[in-house]
Amino acid sequence: MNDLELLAHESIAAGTVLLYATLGEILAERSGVLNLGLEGIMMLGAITAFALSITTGSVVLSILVAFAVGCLAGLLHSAVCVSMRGNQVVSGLALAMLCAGISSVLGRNYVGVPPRTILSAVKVPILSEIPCLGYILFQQNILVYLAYIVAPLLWFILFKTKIGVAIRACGDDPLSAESMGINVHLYRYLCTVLGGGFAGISGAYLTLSYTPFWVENITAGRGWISLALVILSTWSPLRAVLACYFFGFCEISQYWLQTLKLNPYLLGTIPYLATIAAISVVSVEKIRKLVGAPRALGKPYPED
Amino acid sequence: MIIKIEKRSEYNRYSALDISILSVLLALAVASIIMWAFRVSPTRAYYEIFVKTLSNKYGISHVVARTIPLLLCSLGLVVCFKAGVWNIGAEGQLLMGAVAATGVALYLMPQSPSWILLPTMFTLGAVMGAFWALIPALLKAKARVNEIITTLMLNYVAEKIVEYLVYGPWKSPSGWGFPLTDTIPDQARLPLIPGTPVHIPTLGISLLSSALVFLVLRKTSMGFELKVYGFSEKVAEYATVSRTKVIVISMVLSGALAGIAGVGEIAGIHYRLRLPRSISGGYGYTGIIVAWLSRLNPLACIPFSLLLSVLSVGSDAIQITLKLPRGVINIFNGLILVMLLVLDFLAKYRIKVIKHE
Amino acid sequence: MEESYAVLMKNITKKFSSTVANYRVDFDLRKGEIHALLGENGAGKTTLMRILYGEIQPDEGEIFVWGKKTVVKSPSHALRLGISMVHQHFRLVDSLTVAEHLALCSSEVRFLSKRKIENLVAEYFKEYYLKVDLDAHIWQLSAGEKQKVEILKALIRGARILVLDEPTSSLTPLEVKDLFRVLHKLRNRGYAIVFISHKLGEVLEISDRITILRKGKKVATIPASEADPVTLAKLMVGDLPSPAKNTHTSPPGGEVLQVKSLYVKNDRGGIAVRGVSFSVRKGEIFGVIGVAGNGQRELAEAIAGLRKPVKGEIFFRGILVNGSGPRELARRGLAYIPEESFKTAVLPELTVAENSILRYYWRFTEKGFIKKTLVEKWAKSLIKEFDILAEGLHVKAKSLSGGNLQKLVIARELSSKPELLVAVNPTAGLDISASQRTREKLLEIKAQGSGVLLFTEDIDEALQICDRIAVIFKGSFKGLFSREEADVNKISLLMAGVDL
Repeated sequence: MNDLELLAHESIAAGTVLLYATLGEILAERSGVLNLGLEGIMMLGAITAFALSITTGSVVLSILVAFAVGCLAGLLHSAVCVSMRGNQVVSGLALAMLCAGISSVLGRNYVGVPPRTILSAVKVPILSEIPCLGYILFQQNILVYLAYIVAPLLWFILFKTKIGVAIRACGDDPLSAESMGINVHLYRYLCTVLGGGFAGISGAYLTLSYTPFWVENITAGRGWISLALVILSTWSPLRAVLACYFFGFCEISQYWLQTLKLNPYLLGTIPYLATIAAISVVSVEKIRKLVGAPRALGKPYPED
Repeated sequence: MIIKIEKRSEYNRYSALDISILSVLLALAVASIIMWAFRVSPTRAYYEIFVKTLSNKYGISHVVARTIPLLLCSLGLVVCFKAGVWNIGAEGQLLMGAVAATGVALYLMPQSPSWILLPTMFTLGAVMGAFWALIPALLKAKARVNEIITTLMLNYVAEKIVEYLVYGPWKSPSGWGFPLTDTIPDQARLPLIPGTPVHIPTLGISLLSSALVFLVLRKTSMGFELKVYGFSEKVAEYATVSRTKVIVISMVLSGALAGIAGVGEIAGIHYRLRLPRSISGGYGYTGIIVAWLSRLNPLACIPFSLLLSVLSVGSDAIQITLKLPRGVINIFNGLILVMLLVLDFLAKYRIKVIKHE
Repeated sequence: MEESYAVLMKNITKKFSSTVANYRVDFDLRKGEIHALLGENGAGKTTLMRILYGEIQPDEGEIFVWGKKTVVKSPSHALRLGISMVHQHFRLVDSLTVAEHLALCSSEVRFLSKRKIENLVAEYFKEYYLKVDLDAHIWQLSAGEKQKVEILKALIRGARILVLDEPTSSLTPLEVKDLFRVLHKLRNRGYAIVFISHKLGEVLEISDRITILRKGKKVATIPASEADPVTLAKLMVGDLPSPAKNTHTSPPGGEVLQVKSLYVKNDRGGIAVRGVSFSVRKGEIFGVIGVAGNGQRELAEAIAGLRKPVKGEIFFRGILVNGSGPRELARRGLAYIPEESFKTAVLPELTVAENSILRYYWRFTEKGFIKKTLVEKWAKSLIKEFDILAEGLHVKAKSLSGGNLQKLVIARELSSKPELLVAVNPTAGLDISASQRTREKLLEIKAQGSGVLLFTEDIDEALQICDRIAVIFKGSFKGLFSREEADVNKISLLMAGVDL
């Protein structure tokens, strides 16, 4: 294993933090609901998973509960902005704050506590023996592998099944969707709830594997970056994989660059500046015309 | 059985501001359930937050001192939100104002007399805050880049810059290695109401700004343009309103006000640059709630800034007495916004259950 | 109850906040018939059918479907009863393909397998002349094709009762013929069809029976075979106001607008206007007639400075204005009434007074401040002169009806003393008397020396008030007539894209 392989390996590990949240948000936004609460939901997932892994020692249970808690947050968001037609931006910001607050209270006794179990790397038989790629792709932990399956699956559902057509119809033109017998509210609820659950998994991945300890604001803006990655991947789960791994690379590269004696605080701005640069690029008019946001994104239905 | 959601008639029993107040009360009620779940006594917490904070001069003066940056940030956000521009970056704009003020006072012209130094600090602080807002404004105006994300990202960048300065080039040699700069000279410090941390000039500026922003929004063609653009970009274009002008002016104004708030924190409270979390108690984020609660009315921002400032000071107090983390304030903030949306819905719509045979 | 009735509606009453949309209306529909609902805009036709479709609940009255008393709770309930409605504005998702739409409507399809969908629609394609390209995205289809997709949607979902709301409004004459062929076929196979329209000719041609509504009340139901245009028109509007006449013959004034081989793109980046050249003179109404979606909106927006042309030149009052923004043009005297102005040219959340200065607020300012007294005076005069029903100057515009909002826009733009007025379908959606008044006002400003560029879909309107008429089809002008040489048949063929 050389430095570059290590860099790629770590980039994928770092990108997976972003990937679940991004995939979940793609699902929600395809149905027409913008969830700005990702940052908070990730924190909530992070602390629930961390706390549970310490009290129970079960990694699987921790992940499942983090997913459930994320779903719950998504449920609150959809109740407010689907049923009650609340402003999605405001509701999302509120959710981000509320979840951040709750997770800091939840985590008050876990600051500085060492992890009890962490997700360890599992070598995939045969595949992990492939030179170079085997190490990069198939000597990771189980959540990384799960993402390999979830992303294409989500793509298949969105673009090859009737359910996916219905979801996209809800996000583009809910009134017309309703005229084809689609229960717009039900679909928006389901997608938002699941999207929240995915953000919960992102959080769990963070504290169970990537940075296995708890501090306040552990997510450090990754939730917001995921929102940008949804735009960068133009609402496609497959492009999201590339976008997230690339951003994983941006994050890892700062540690690598630190070895070149560059200032760590200034290097710390790389992911954020890269985010701004990335969404500026996709916002260029020509690209935006090819693949735009879901037309009804952020709008309540029915409108008054 | 069908559940129908019907719009109520235009005339409501409760005004929008009534609903804002109700939503704060409701949020406190819900928060008490959460506290109870965490085995924290709500009565004790609220006693600490409200009674103890407001029963002594120390508490009250801190409430007023925190109202200043909160009010300044929220006023700027009111302007942006009125125009439908989602500036979530007041926090970073405030920090950049603080950086500018410190730079002027420590390095640019530390020897100057007060009457030159202070205005320069305010001016450059405002310019720096405005510049930090101008970047996302131009990106939005020229390339339609989502401003929510860019302003948020710039908050993190601003934090990193402050950290870089206080850990790096601006670190005080006499600070025992703590992330602090040197203290600014006496002539760079703002006059206080004696015995309190309330810096008078900034208090004046913030109150005056409320009136000015009110006037601009209500009476001027600029205010009209902001409002028209805020309701519909398409119609605004038809109405010959310049999109670029609206976005840039609202963001720059907002950034400048947040920048001034940052100057106030340096020249009136801390007298030095320190870690971002010590400089700003999340004023840029809490300002969003103030703006929303006051229904984008600049005058209503004054009482709501005070109210949220009480919550903020009170939360600091319960951090110590009840051993809660500093993030607890976020629970209040988040709940207030959620409740506001819920009550808005209930005030606007009637839920009807129609039963059929 | 007779079995042959598909629908029976009795004593239907529906009130909206201030207006009575339907008052004690009776309506029945038999199996295997096309029943036309005829009436002016705002007569209550659509409301009545939305009640049948379950979109709104009546205040009073009973509905029987297939002989059974029913409360139609929602559109999905209506569909289970076999009722489907095709709305005037199609309910189709632009970004999805035809196949995807049909898959959504079928309970048998789970995955997007092309063969399954082909099987599903094979019968309709063959038997009912409803062939559409399954792989096409909705945004690529013409209005006629979209109409077919809507009907397919209804049939696949098992509808036996079809309600079509103004189905011909966006179709070319040839597409209308196509649609009628489909409807006849459906009727002969036992489908019951309601045909909502305000066009006498079409109603007489297609329907078996005709029910006429006026101001929310039913006037009569008569067999089509016993009806004639004159009686129908009388039943529909009562006493007609005499139409405005374009009597003022304009001396050929100077050209206020010149357009030279102009190319404009639409929102999707396709070319919407290709190489159009024409000029509008002072004291002239220049009509551009065509079916909706042939580049009218893009052309109007380019002239008003809201859309950058790709190529070509626009001269306004002799000056090249290609790069000028909307403000610059408004300042130089260009007034603009866009399409669906009650939505696109007013803000419902602002007050009536604020809306009255929407495009001209900068004329009411002094040192940056808006002069309130000036605004109020101006708004009052508009309300008075154009008969706008509003409860005051400072109520929100959303308290006004759509028609009154539209009148407010027309009032604002016409009163701005324009050198040139660009108006896109200004009378669409207005009732007959308000339309007549608007046309009179257009003639008035023409007489005062303004140029008018009028986009319209209504041949009668064009012939009534325009001095010259150009036909637009797929972004090009297909012919230019003076009023004297204009001919209805020629124009309608050109509108359909037939080259003469």
